[in-house]
Amino acid sequence: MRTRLLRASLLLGASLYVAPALAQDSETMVVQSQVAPFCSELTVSSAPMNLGSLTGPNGQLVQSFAGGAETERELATSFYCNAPATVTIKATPLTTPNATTDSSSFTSRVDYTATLVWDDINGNVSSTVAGGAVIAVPEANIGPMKLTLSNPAVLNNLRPVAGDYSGQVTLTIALAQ
Amino acid sequence: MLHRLKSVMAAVALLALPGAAQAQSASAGIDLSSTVYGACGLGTPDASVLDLHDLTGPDGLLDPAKLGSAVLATATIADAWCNSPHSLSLQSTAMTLQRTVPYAQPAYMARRVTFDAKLIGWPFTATIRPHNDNDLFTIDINSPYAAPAPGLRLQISKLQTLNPGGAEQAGLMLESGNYLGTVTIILAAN
Repeated sequence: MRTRLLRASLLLGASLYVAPALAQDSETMVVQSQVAPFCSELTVSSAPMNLGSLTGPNGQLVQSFAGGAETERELATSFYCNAPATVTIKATPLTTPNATTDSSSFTSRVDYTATLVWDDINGNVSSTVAGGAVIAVPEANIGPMKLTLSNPAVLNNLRPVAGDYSGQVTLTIALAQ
Repeated sequence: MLHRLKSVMAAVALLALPGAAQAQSASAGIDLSSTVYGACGLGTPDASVLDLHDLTGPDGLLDPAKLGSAVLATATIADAWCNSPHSLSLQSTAMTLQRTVPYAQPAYMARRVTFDAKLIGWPFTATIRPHNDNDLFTIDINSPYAAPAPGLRLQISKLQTLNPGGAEQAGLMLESGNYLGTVTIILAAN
């Protein structure tokens, strides 16, 4: 009986001894995340860019906007898109509601060129192009965004009629994906 | 346990997504304003003096050739324009003897001569016939206008002598001397 108990004790001891070798294991955990493509929001002042007087003493259109005119505006100090994008720039001409019956001498429309510079990307469009222009941004971009207006023009050297003129430049930045 | 870890990782990633200041697209409209002030312009006339030469015929009366509607002289202003509603004025003084005469004007003599000064090339033909100094004719025009080529033309015709009272009277003898009158064209933006 004592012998049987001893054997049983030894067997139990042996089984307790080998148990840790059977508990080894491994697990691999994948760490994943995403970065969604996006652009920062573009918020601009509602105050219009005042281009000043459009005519000189002879009533003809000025060759360049007046010295005190606001022909440049920084729209954002650091605008960014973290993926390729397109910028659509549209410029509507400067017009006045004041009509003229002498259309062979006068016009109520003044065109101009709008140029956008966004860091190392730039492009321009004339207000004569109704559909605007698309500027490709082939990679993520970040930097200051500036709008410049230049080259006032009228058809056939007509004189602009007197009045208040207004126009608009519209920018739409969309991710290319 | 593995699923729980993945859930935690995904939650962390969601927290890192952009906030309200980021978007799939951005747009903005920049308003522009400018002004064209009302103005008018008149170029330099091709003649600043319209010489009607000798006013009299052999009988000392006003030359009959100068009485009618034939144009005696013309001045042209090539560049005349107003870019807004405006007024057109003609200010004119009758031709007047330029020397001082040391006696009263006899009843049968004339020292002043009137004329038609007709302005052509504007939406309305304007005519002034001065009997005095600085007679004025003004008309308002409610739209911009520019004179087409050859431009604004001032035509002088229909001379007639004036009596001392300033009334037109035919058959008066003109006293000798130089006669001078004026016509001033004024375009003013309203």
